[in-house]
Amino acid sequence: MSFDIIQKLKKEIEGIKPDVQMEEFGEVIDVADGICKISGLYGALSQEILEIETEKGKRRALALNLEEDTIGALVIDDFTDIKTGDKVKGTKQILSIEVGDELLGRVIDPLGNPLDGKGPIFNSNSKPQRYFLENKAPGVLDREPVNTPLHTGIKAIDAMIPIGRGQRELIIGDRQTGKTAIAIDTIINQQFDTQTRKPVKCIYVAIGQKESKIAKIIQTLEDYGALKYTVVVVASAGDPAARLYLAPFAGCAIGEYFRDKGDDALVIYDDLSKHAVSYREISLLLRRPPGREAYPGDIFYLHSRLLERSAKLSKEKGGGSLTALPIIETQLGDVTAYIPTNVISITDGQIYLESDLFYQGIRPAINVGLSVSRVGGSAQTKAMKRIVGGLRYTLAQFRELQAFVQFASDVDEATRQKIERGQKMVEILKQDDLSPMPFEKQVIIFYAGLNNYFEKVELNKIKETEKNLLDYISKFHNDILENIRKTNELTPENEAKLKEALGHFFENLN
Amino acid sequence: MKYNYKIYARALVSALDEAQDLAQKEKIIKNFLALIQKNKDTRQLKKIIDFASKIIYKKEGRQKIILETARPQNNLKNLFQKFFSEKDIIEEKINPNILAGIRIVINDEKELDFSFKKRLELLN
Repeated sequence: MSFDIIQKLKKEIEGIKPDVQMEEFGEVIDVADGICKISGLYGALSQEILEIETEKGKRRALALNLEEDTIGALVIDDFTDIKTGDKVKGTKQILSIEVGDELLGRVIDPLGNPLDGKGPIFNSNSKPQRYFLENKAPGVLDREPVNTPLHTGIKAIDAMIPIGRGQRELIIGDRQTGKTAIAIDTIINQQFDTQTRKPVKCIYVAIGQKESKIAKIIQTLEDYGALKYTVVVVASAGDPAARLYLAPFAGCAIGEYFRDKGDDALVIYDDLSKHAVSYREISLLLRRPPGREAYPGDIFYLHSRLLERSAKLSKEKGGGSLTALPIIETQLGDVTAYIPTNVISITDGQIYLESDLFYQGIRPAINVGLSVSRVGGSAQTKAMKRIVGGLRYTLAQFRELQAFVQFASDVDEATRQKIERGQKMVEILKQDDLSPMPFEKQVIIFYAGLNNYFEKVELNKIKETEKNLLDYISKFHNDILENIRKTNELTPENEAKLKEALGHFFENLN
Repeated sequence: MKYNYKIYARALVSALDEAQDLAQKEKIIKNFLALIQKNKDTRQLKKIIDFASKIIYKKEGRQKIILETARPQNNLKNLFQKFFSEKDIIEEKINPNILAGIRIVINDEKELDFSFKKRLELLN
């Protein structure tokens, strides 16, 4: 038996005719902190994967700096085994990642390796595609304006800072102001917004975060049934800078796969300030000249080429979309720092979170005055657009009066009423973590709020009343909700029904 | 000021070019080594010589061929001489790591690997 096997093996080995070709090679002349200097290898391409032959096997590196006679390469695998004098060969391949529907529900590293212990991602039956990490953004002709809403389930955002599919909306704020919470809520809400729109596939890219926080986020997504349509790309604080640098590009490549397929995808980069820091580390080690705040000259291009790949494709291109929610962490609310201003100018608007508001109990702590969505308005549903038209104005007026009234001893009745309404509106806009609200319910609440139905409700009872109202509507007048959900509009007949229902509810309240 | 090994090598090659006869060349090399010692750059010497020989080879249209085998071979140099030009410099090297077969390295830049080790790697 064993003789047979050996004979077969011998035959197989004899049958192999390796195709020996002239190969170019270089030599490692310097290695430190995940960066390699390589001499020779004159035919190497920019962004090419190089293979370093170490004693413990091959290690991959990414050619970044092509100089006169050396190459500065970023080691992707473990760099501790690399010695000077190790041989390096080119592969003529650009960095890419295997993508497919099988990625949904999985946790991977930026190179596509599973991290969740659920075994290999692709089996023999699956047909994964290879997507380049660095890809060209769709051109002008391939795009169309944003026209479909991406509901976050957060009242303040869906009403005043609407996001459309294919938009890039920045979430910016200090530490501990609920930036990640907004992103997670948005992912969770996607399962409730599938009746008239395509479900959104989500990609959460964790860049330089604590493993404990990432584990918690994955657990939350799983508990709320959102992991099944989400891919989590992890480059934690313990990973080398190379992985942190590649993570958003990997997440974007996965998003592009869904976008090109005609699906809608949402990618969250949490957060790009840490990404910029890791790129600064790499650039300084590669001895590229430092610029402002020691960031390299191409830091703007790094983020703009990444975010430019988010797009709404035209019908001819399949009509898919890739929405991006980059997150930026500011220091003491300073939005004028280098990276925040860069990303603000690249994106189509920003959601600005403030720690002062957060500690006042206004959560999500969105500063409505400074937050803006430049293109989302055209994607907002008709129902929402019509109702919340005056909301921004009401709140702005309220804030102005509130500041003024602080110094005045007595105020007239009209001003008092305006302030009271504003206070109630602020109370309505408050929302707990992990409780995204479907848009049709938001429409009901805003309709009641802006038409003064809450006038006689005390401020501390707003939350409770809101909950009871939604309970009442969904139990006794579900047809109203159903109609809004289906038509995305508040038709006159439906509005009359809603008015009657609201009248009935608020009459019986006291 | 510290000089790069390339600057030294280029200077050496151009000085040697201008030399009239062998005696002068020897003198240049002697002086060059003294200079390196004076500048405390002896650590760079190997790099300088490698780079200088590369420049000279290129100028003269020669190639440096290294034949790597796992064990010493008889007559290997002569066997391969006919494949290359007469000007080319052929060296033999023993490298037990390649297990068997031969690996031909040209100008320290390109290689033709007919070794058993490569075959084993391709089996993987």
